[in-house]
Amino acid sequence: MSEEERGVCMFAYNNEKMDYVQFAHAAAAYVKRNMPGMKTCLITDDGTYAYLKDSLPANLHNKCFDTVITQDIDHPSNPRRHFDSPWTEFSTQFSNSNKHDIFELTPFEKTMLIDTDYFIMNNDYAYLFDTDISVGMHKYARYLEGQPPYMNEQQLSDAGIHHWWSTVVYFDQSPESKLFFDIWAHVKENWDYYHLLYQFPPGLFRTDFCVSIAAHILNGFNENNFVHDFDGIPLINMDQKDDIIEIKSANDIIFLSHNRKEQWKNILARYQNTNLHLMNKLAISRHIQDIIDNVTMGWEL
Amino acid sequence: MDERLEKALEFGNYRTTLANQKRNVISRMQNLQKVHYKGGSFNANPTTIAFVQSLVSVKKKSSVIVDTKENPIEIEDLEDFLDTLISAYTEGVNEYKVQMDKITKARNIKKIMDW
Repeated sequence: MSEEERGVCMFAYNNEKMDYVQFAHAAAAYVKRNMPGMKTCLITDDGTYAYLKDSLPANLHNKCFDTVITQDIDHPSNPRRHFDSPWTEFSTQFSNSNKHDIFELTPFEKTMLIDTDYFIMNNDYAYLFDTDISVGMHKYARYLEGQPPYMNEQQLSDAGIHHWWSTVVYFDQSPESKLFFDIWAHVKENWDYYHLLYQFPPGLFRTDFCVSIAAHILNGFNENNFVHDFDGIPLINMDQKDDIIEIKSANDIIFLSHNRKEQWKNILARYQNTNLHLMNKLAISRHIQDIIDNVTMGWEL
Repeated sequence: MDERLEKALEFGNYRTTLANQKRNVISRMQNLQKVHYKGGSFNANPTTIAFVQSLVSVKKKSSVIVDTKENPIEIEDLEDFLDTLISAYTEGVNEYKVQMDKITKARNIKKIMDW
């Protein structure tokens, strides 16, 4: 398979508080650095793209992304509560309603869709592109001190189905993959019905719930292996209540990890060459220039 | 605060941090030791390596081996597979050794973090 047929895509839609397109450039720079030969594609809207062209250097943008797809779309209201440490809380728009459209939008034959707050610091996903796997996602997750996910991140409800993570979705263009994304769209369109059926809170539209339901249905309403789980390797999450202390180098970050029961207590945690899902967006914002400088070190910009 | 208690609490924090870092390093080693071969998933651990070595030592050239997902995988070249397993195993344990040497020598949190 040629390099053009494999790539990493990400969606980025800015809002008044989050510069997702800047995060996307950091995430794409990580892909370029740690997944040699991998193409990248940014999917955004016209307004965000106009802002991108004004706010980011053109040569950085051109180095980070091989393809940009812009759409003129309206995002339905989907306010999401965020934390920045245990002591700061805010709400902002979360535009994720068209994530399932990636099956049609991707320019690649084999695609890995990642969130813009997911930084790839090794080449562990490379094997996927040489397999016949149709769909892959993380089934398990851990936080910085090895803590398990919160209850609503383990199951959709008490005694409910398993929670899968849509932070990283690998897929090919097979009929099975199409079925997966069609069900994702169907769940989105019938959100009120599925929230009653699977007993999850309807307030926030979460793509994690859509993919969990799709995986459940396609697995034959059972625990099965239609969806590849990246060999059980867990997604490593930095909690929204954790913080970044220092970017030591591109693939080496020190965090402050909070204690869930006694939130004023913290320990330091250092991660090297490990893929990380940095859920505290404001922490990323505070360090974004440092991150981009480190990841693009040695590039001719 | 009583100085003895302060030092004990500081040491407790150090041990917690050390244990967490060790867990991270072990996870990284385990990830490096995952092998994808002919569509199968394998762990390059001593058990798998010893089993494949046993097949090679009785002059087997190929074999069906059940992978970690309980799928039967036809391995056409056992020696090549063994080389792949040993390579992944070695990469993992070498990384583990390098990282563990660093953190076990560190006697306080700042040194663990190289901060």
